[in-house]
Amino acid sequence: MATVSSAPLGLWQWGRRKIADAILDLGDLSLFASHILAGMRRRSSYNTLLPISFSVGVRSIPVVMITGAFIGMVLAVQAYAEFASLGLATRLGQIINISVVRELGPVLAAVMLAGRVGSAMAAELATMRITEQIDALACLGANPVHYLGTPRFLACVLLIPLLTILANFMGVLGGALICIDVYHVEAHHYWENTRGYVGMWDLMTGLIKPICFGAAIAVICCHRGFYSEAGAEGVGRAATRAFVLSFIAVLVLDFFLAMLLNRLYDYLWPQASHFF
Amino acid sequence: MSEAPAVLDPIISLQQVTMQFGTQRVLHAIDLDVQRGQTLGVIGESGCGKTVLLKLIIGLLRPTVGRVIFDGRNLEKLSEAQLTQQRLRFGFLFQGAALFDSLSVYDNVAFGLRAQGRKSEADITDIVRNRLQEVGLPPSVLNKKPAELSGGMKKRVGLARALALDPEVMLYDEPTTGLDPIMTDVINELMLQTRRQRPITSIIVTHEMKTINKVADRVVMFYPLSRLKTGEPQVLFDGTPEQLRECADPRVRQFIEGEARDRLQELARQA
Repeated sequence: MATVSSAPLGLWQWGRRKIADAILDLGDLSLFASHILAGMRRRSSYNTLLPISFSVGVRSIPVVMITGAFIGMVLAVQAYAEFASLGLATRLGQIINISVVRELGPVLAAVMLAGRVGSAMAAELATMRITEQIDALACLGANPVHYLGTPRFLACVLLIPLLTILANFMGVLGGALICIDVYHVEAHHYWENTRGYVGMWDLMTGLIKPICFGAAIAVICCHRGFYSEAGAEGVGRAATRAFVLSFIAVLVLDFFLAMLLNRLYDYLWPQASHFF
Repeated sequence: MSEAPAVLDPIISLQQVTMQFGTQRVLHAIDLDVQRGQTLGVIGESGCGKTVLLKLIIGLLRPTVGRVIFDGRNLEKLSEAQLTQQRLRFGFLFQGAALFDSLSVYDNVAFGLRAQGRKSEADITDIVRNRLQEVGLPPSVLNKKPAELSGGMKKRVGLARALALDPEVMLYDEPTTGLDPIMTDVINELMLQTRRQRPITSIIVTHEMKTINKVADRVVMFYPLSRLKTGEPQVLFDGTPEQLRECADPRVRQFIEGEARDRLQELARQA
């Protein structure tokens, strides 16, 4: 009487159920995101913004700097041999820095922050769920999504772009360090090619992406934490799923944003080159 | 021994309430009225839906079937803002106290008052100190974090936090679980004191028969749905603590006497 048993499903039915579950999850996530955005109108949502921003932003600085630096350095190491063999070593500045600024900096910084910040947020909220702190918030007159989700969303959207700028800066420095000091590429040509090919549009696209990545990471990780299953296993699963889904979301968003921004560039400047 | 309050009208009414999570049904066709000023004890085995009952009453969960009426209002018909306003008339002491880990004791107890936004910080400070004094905690705990407190202290801070908003209804979810016998009786005394000092309706979910005998003036016993026969009501007993002690139902007797009997063999067969 208390439970309804289900017969084993065939592959087709299993697939249909999985697709239906995924669509339901996406709808649930969208509703959750709308609640988070609605919380931005309430003053109480900003009470914890500063400490959360410190945790998301300031505490991520060392790992973001390391990530950025090594992105640039590895790119330089991998690209030098090929470019030097073609006599194009001085072009390395253009290749490394445009890759860092437009793609690798934003994407790898977002992935690293999904792991550091996102899974920590999911674990924290999941722990609050299983210890009934989220229910306690509701009982004391606070809206848990506005109180917990909105400041985390704002911190990610505002700070992940700033952290990406830091990652990009370290990537540029790291690449320059390897090319100029280790491989003895002519510094003047290295920086002249960088200046000639990395423009405002590249910098701008490199900042639009982290805003979207930050929003996705915050919504996904807060959602996973809020709706965690019971027990320590539930907390662990919430943190893991939060990272995996955030990682996939970053890759998918990166693809579509790259297509959209390239189309936009072609529309705005159909005959333009990268010299501003 | 507890005192029977004057019977007025039901402040809380559950009408044919059924609660199901996915394929798991926890409560089935529950009809339960709680009179204003009454102290209702809810007992039953683990998994029979006692905590779910409390969460339905305060609107944290919505019933799959049926209605939950609070002070004449159907909770399901209220908007989120209206439901939040009604929730502020409750105080809830959670099983693990559910204190906010990142906040101090002071900030925990002040949380609801600050969320309401109607009192100055000076007034809030007075209320916090008075509530902590009421539950027997000294001012030295004000700046401590929950992780620095013992189990009994956490429960008392949780009680102070719940009482800070002057609720009309107090919900206690296993308030003495995990506490030593002396602290258990301290919590029992605090529940009695709370009732003496203010006109309050209380619902206490507990396994402790000592708490029931000391604090409750009415007892309801739930039984797990999975162990009921078809057509049997889920509420096995509804009466006074004295009637509970005289009840002849073997399932009630097994619970209040705390005897395993053939339960171990049943569990082994299920495994």
